Amino acid sequence: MKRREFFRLVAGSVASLLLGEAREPEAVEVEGGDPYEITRRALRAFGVKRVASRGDVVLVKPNMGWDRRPEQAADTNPLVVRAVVETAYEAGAKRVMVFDNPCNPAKRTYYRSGIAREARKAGAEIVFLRENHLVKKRIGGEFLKEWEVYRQALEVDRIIDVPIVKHHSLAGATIAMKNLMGLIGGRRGYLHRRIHTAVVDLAAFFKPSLYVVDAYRILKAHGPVGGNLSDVALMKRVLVTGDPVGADAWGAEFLGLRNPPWVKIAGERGLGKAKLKILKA
Amino acid sequence: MKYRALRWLRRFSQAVFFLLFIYLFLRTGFFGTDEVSPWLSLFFRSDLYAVAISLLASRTLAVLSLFSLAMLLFTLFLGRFFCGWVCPLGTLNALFSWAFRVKKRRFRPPPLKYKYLLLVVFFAAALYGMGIGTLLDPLGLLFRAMATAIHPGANLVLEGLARIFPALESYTLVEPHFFYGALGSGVLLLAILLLNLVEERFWCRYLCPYGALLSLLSRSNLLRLRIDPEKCTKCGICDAVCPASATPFLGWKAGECYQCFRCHDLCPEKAILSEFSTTSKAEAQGIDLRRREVLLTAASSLLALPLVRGNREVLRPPGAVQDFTSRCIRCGECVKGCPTGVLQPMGLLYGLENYSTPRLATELSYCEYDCLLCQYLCPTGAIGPFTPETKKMGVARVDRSICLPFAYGEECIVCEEHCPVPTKAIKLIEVEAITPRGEKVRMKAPVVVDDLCIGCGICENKCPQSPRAIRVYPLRSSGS
Repeated sequence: MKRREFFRLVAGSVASLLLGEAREPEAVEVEGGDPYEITRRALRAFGVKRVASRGDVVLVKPNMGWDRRPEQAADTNPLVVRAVVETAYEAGAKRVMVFDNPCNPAKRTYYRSGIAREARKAGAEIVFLRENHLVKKRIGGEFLKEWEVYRQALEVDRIIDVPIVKHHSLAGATIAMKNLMGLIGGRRGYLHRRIHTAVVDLAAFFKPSLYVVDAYRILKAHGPVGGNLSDVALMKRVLVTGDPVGADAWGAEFLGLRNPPWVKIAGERGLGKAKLKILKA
Repeated sequence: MKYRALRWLRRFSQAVFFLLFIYLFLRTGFFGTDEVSPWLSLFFRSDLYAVAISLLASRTLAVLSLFSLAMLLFTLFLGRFFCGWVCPLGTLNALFSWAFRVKKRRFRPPPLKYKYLLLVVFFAAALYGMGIGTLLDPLGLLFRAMATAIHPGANLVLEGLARIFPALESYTLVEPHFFYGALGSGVLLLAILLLNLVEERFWCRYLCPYGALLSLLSRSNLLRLRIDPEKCTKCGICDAVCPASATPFLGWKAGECYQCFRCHDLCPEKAILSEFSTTSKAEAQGIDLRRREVLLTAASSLLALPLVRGNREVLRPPGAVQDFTSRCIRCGECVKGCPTGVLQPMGLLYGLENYSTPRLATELSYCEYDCLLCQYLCPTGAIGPFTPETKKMGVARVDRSICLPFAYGEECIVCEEHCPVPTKAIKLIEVEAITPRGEKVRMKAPVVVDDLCIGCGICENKCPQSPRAIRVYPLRSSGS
């Protein structure tokens, strides 16, 4: 543990002891018509100070994996990403980067998803993966022992995971934990051999500090790529939490999944709890 | 004085067109929008030579290629001004000649006729429906070399420097591609540039088939060179300095002259002038070529050309028309513009006929479902209009003997996950598989629905198995 993390932990514990849990909700859910507005509201209710600390270098990791348009709900809503970037700067972050290692050509995916444009409006740095950005690292997971990892993800102060809720033909759904596959390189298809364990390994390794789950539009079938507008459902909701297990459990319910395998595994490994006290703001 | 100014004007024009060529080259690709301007391939749409070959070979013409008629008109009036004022390869040759400064000819100059004979061979090939002549189109060979060799090479150098100076990293390409045929196109260009060591603008004088075509068109152009016999001292400097072997002194060959105005400027007596006038028959200089040679070349090409036929059953770009090989001018626009690098120039193994035409190299990359770029870049319509829904390049086949779920009982479905067809052309079926340890397991395994599959190749590309357990194959002409 770095000294900084230690202080943060101590300060956080002391603060929560003094102020009580009520001041710092476990999770906030907001429903509404505008993805930007509801994300901002949720983040404020969750606590702007919990988004980033002064001087932080922040890596925002939306699901920006596919060369699709926002209406097709294959990528995180660009306005949600913009709200996250803005709030991070408001909280005092020094640098906010938006990054993914997409499945389709990066430039197309960044632009056509609308994320590059919106995030830039909020002052984010749009970073692309280049070959020498990957370093082999010990993951130390149950299934993933060693893998190529995006170097920046290890160097930043915080990772904010901003997934979208989507159907996935193998895992059932892809939400917060599986979204972290965009922080690694190599032959990622290999992870499918034990997909549920693999994504938990990734969540335990990267430990994002915050999860902003986009369920404004969700993709209910033919995921994770989609393409058919009839597979998209408008849910108009976002969830903000620090708990990956709770985030995925919340998102999976939209797809009719209760306690899916990876949520169970993550819960057993102590990454969080599936039943969060959700504040509806 | 007037002619010195004209020379500088010419150099300025060369610089402008050269920079325009590079600018359009760099802008050829995805920059946020799919519907790019068809004028990105301006140089090829006005490329009279390539358009003529494509027209002869396929008997079709893209509407925007009619722009090349402008080139025809200009040439009828002004002669080979294109070679002297516009052609970017000509400009490069001029630059290299200037850099090498070869003063003295060390050999007996070859006859000027070879470029015309090349033209005859290539037009004969076009009659067979083969567009191989465009392999030596100066614009195309330069663009191909830039796309496959120079640009990726420059990026490699930059990447190397970025390791020392990290600030340079943002200038490197986000998605650099590897290109087949980089060596071939690179060496061809290098050879052409090095030929300037032998003689100034060697390629333009003796070899360029586009130059030959323009030369045939400009024998009686209206901008005529004349020597004032009263001023001329018969020193012969004009013939010696001419970069085109147009011999103003021994009898001006209108078809060879690039209208560069060098002799006008360098004539010590200022005895050379150019003026607009029509040509009398006596004045018109013939081309250094005999009828018998032309007929013999044509006849022997017609006999030999069937030997270079290529395999036509290959994966082509989306929207490729039926007679793709005939219509394609091998310009490299689609290869440069393709954001995934799946469009690759074909190697010689596919036959000379196919050499440097684009194929879908699914072993390297894949065709991005929503991408529409190449149809706008293709100057001849060899890549016809298409939408994501009408793409149909080939069909994928699963090899069950190595596919992870089928053959090893291991979970995978990566191909199905990536399949971009909105309703999925790869479906998952439940199968009972046997693992290498002999356990029976039930799991999902992929099958391809032929009618839905567009042959984009992302499945092949993302398949984690080695060798790939799903591959894309060309459609057979008798159904697939």
